[in-house]
Amino acid sequence: MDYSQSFAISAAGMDAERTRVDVAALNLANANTVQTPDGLRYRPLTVLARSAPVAFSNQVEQGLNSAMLTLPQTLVEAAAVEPRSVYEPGNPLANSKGFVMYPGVDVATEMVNMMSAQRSYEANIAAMNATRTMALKALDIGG
Amino acid sequence: MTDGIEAVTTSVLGLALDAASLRQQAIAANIANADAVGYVPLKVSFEAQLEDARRALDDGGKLSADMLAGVAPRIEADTSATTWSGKVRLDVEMAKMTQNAVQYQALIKGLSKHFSILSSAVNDGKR
Repeated sequence: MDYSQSFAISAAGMDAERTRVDVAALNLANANTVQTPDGLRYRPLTVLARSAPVAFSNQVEQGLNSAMLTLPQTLVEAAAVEPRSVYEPGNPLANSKGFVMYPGVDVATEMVNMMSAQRSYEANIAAMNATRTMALKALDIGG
Repeated sequence: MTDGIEAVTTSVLGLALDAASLRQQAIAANIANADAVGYVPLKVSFEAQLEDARRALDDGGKLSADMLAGVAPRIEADTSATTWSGKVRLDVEMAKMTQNAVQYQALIKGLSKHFSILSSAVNDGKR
């Protein structure tokens, strides 16, 4: 049995969780960004995780048995959240009524997302360590 | 090879090792896809296929190689009650993974013991 697939699965899982941490950090870092370089408002990002089948060429090699194995794939999209308007008449970026539109970053949600991604990342590492232990144990057969 | 050396033990343990390593893949995929939308958890069916062999052993018979002809570990979608509304439960998966790793090591111990019995026979009982 081929162990490299187990490692690839866990690596894909860690990649997806790292994307979630990255996006949460980016949202937190831009919580008070009024404008991006292109003059638009910063829109908080959200991660969509979907599971997609392993690449077709690999499936042919592995046979039908592992055709059900799917890897997580992440898609980063702008979230449709209302901006947070703050009354700052002295701000040069304020509109005619004196309001500045800050991005609607929810700090609590971002922190919770980051913690959950961190725990999932640890679970993936544990899975990878278990695979490694098993692969090394298999070398002990007959010894 | 003769029946004694190429014993059914080797093939059964080999199949069980295959099942354990495939189960490790299924659990790794479940953990990796824990946050993916619309993911159906996977499981490996193997032990249920050994029902015939177990019955033969209970009747005091011998385990023969042809009982294992159609036995092969297979990946299936897990739609049982342990997976709650299609969501992966990380703690359950971690527990399954630990159990699977221990079982794998037990199977390897068994295989090693089998080979050491053979080696003892080959060496006239000398170590």
